[in-house]
Amino acid sequence: MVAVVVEAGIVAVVVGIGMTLYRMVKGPHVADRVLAGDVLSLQVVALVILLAVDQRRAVSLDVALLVAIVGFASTLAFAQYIGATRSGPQPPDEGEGG
Amino acid sequence: MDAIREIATVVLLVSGLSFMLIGAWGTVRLPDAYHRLHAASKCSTLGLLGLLFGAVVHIGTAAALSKALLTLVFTFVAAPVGSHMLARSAHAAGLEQWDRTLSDELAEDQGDHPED
Repeated sequence: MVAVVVEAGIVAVVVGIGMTLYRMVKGPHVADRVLAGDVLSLQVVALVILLAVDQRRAVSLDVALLVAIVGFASTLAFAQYIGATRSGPQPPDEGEGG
Repeated sequence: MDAIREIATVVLLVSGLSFMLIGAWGTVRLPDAYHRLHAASKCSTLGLLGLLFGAVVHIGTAAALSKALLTLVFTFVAAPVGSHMLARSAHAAGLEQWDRTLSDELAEDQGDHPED
């Protein structure tokens, strides 16, 4: 019964990855693409956890932690990048520091 | 005992997977980057909780429990921080809100204190 759930779960996660890839391709702003990448990394974590359930070994959970850390770091880096660009339709404020 | 453990595993895995799927669907369906962040952070975090506890119940060793708890604590700290920073920097970059959003309290606050 667990094997059936794992099979169905792989299908569900792949469908979710497809949705996030759609948002990553379509997203009008960089923030949309970055949050799609964040959700994508969490879906990959879910895939790794399903692998651990299927193998019945705890080793794969290390990979889950690693993918979660890398996804968080990339989200933070892209958030800093978006905050630094400030590419609005209107010119930026009259601050001196820029 | 084995049947109970299997049923608990299935329930936890199915709830986690449905949360992950709802979160991914929310990133497609919702109208705005801020709304999409709402779906992305919350649903994915809860989905990871269900999946990890399902794996712990299924594997049933202390190593699996400790690794799952480590991943959970990290994710529960990291996902809100990441989405908060992403929303704040998108707001600073001048990302437009959905036209039916009622208020923008961050802009009102920054009107009082001009940005540094």
